[in-house]
Amino acid sequence: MKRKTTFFTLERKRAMTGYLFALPWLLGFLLFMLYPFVTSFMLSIGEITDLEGLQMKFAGFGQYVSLIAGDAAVEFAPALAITIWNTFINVPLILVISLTVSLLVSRKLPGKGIFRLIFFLPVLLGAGYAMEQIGGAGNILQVPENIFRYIRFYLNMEMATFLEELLMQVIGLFWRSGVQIVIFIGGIQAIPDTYYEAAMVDNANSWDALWKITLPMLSPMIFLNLVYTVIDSFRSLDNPITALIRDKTMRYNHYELGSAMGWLYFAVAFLFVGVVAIIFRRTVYYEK
Amino acid sequence: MEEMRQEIIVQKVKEKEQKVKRFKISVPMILLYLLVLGVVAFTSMPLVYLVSTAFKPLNELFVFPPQFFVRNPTLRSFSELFLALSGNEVPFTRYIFNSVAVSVITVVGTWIVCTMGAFAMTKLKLPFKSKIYTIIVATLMFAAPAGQLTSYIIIQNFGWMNTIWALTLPKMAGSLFIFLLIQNFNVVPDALLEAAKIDGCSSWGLYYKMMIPMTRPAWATAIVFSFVGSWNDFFGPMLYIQREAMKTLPLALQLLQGGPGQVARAGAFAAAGLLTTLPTIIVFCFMQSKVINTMSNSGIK
Repeated sequence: MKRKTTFFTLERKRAMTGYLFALPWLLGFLLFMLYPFVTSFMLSIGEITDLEGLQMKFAGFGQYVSLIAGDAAVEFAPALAITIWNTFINVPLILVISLTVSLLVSRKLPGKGIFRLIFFLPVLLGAGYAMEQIGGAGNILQVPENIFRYIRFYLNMEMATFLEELLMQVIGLFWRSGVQIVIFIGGIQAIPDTYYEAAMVDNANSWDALWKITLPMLSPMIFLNLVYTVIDSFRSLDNPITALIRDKTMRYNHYELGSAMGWLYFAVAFLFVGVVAIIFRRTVYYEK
Repeated sequence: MEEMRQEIIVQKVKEKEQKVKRFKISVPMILLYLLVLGVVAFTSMPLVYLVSTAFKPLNELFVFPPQFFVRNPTLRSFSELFLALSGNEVPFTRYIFNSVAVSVITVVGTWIVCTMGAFAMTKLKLPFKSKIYTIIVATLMFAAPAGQLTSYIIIQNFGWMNTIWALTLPKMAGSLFIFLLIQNFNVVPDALLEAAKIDGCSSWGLYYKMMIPMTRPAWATAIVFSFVGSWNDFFGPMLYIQREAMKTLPLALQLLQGGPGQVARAGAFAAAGLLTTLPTIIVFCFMQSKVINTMSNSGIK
């Protein structure tokens, strides 16, 4: 008897299930992420002929030339430099803060629930967005402004300015560590207790356990957080470059220039993350 | 035999007591705690000030030197806020309703779309899996404003202007949440799923009965962040919503700004700020146990 050939082999059936589960996300991603992503590249080397229908014709790489060595570089280069510098400074600080906080709140200690809540409150309100609402430019509230008014009343000018800067920096860093803390806590709690018990039997103290067990076991999470924080810093809605791009596209309707900026920035970010990943990948310890 | 067991239990209890004691006594630990608590107090200052200002009566708002804490709390600022905004064609409650509707639809949609996608990306057979993953990571780094024009035109062509869909659907399938979920879904051991499969569990069962309960901390986190992002979104409504009746809270609160009497409305600003931040706190408190009890129930040791 001839073997019946069906279109749905087991292999295909399995792939179908995969596609079915991924379909809603794939559709949304293609339409609202990938399509704008690709068209913005075409825009950056093109010229719009019909805005409503998004028709364009090829216009060469003039926008990029202008961004690197032409008129547009005057705005673009300093904004890029500031963004990269901020990333350099903030990423290690955010990593240290989020690691410290998660180590503290995952301790077996009475009342840790309340501590966790306190730690999480600013983290939650932050995530960048609420921060914009409560403080910063274009806000509906001037809360930090009022606090500074309060500080200035009691301290002299220099000390008040110093305190203000420090306050804003610390608040900003804490408020941007949300996702990182969650990832770290997950990683810490996934480490089996037996490791610590074995170490304690061998007379290790908590300090040794931190360096010899927790940190090595956590290294994949540290790496993930490192990459994530760099990415987050680059895509943050309030860094000078994204603000510049938003300005160009939404206020002045320079869509082509804005897109070129977006892509040049994207290339720089990609390079940066790639270099970071290559440097730190070797330090990751995988338990196998 | 019985005696030995008893002894072991006694020893275990003692050990536990010692553990608790050691953590309690440790001086550097307490110092570190105090330090971090100080930093947290420092960090949450804007929030405390916001709450305090929202309940201040008029005379305390403008007193000099400024006061940090409220003396005689009052709800005057809230009633003033409602008054200031109710002169419009739509009642203030409509904005709240819009914001709640947009956030709830976004969160539920994001949850369904991203958990299913992450499940397919990690545990199912899916062609081009690694290529899709590379694209996700790449788009993570893409500055969203550069693609704004295309998104705008897509939404216009779909006829979604001034509808709730413009604010909800595009947000559901972003790359950030699926990236984080994929990291967490990867941790769930394949052996567990295979065991369930051998026992006759379907793919849907694997997703709904195994993956979802086991990765609760991960998606609870995604829910919190997705809610915060959607609730506080300002640019989306600004671009896509012109009709007054469809505006969300952040956009509506812009009405407070400018015009005569802006200074006198300082209390109303604080009340508005409190109203916008309160739901995010509530959602977090609701999710907190789920967010933080991470991985403790992953089913393996």
